[in-house]
Amino acid sequence: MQLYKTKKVTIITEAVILDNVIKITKELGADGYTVDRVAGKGESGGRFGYDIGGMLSNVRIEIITTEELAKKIATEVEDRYFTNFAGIVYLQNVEVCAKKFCVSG
Amino acid sequence: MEVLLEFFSRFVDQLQKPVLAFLLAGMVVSAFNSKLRIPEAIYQFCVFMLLMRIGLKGGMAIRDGNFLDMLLPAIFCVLIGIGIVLLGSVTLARLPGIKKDDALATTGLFGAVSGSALAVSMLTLESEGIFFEGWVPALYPFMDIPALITAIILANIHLAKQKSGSHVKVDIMPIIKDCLRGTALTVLIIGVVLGLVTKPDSVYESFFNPLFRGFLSILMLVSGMEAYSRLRELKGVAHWYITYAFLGPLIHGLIGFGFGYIAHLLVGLSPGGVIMLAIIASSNSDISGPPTVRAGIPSANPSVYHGTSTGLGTVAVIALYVPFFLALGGIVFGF
Repeated sequence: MQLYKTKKVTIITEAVILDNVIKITKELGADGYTVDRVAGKGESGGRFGYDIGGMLSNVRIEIITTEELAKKIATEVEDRYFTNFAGIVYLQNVEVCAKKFCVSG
Repeated sequence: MEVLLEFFSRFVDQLQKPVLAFLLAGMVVSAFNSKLRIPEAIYQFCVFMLLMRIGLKGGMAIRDGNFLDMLLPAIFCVLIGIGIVLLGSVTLARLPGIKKDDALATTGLFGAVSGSALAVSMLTLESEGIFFEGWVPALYPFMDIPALITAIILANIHLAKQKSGSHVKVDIMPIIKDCLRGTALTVLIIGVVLGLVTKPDSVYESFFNPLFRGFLSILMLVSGMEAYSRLRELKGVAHWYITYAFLGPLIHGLIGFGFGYIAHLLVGLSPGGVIMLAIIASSNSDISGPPTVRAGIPSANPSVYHGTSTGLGTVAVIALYVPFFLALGGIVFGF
């Protein structure tokens, strides 16, 4: 089985900005994402999503893409949101089965 | 003096009602760090039931009523919503030690409306047998959206000025869309439309109306738990916010009562409708408003406005101001 080396960018942040973050990644050229609701504690205190309006809910967004685009997404999200919103973004090496994820463009 | 006595007896009445009792029980549960959690799906369904009931009743009342009667109260709602935020921006936002964006975010929420306070006041008026036009509660988006938008615009102007007067451009449409697409308003609008163009009377009488009280009490329990948790966030926040949470709803409600009274004189808004308008003006957003403000004024500290609104404001309105405006209405209109 042939595996292809590429990058996964993971963004953990506040659920209230989910739509905006997705929009940016799409504009930068990412063609898909995975999102799930998560809970935890970080610099901004515990965020366990127990509140009514969803102000304290967190999401984890994962995008598998080329290294170039992964870095672009990470920089853009970091610059635009993480002054005012709780969040972290990190990149990981992954190996995927489909070739399209590691060919840039 | 008479108002105070009347208010006191209404307040004692209110304390014995299940609505406030559930709210306080929720606070106690949370204070004891109980592991009780009401699943999200349940309280979202509670919100759905309440707003659908408000919407259906509103829609049916519009169908049976005169559309023109609604126009003036709707315009008043817009004015009150914007007015509350402007008032906050020249009072709360100018106090020493207050960050202007925090203050504007807070006044935005206090200009906006709480679906649960609305449900409580409907139930209270109905159980007291005081008539109100069914469409009055359905006017709440006319106050809610303008208040949130005004706050977001003012805060963004302020922030742009701080950045050496750079040009400010706030896109209003996405905020309006965001408000309308929110759970609460979507349900309310569906309810109004269905009540207006179809005849949902049977499903209203057999399902939404009888279950209203039960679902409201569950929502009150959740709101109480929520209020206590947010209260804890208020530690270290300027004490002005605590004053605002208690004084704001009183002043806003009086403004609402004043406008309602004008509508009473001009277009014959019922006394119950005037009281309802006062409570809509008095209440603050606790469910759908905070996320809108979070996204619209990112630099404002959520602990401040979320704590002030959900932690204190909602409780103040339900415990104090619903009985207060009922008492005031009773004295002004003599019932």
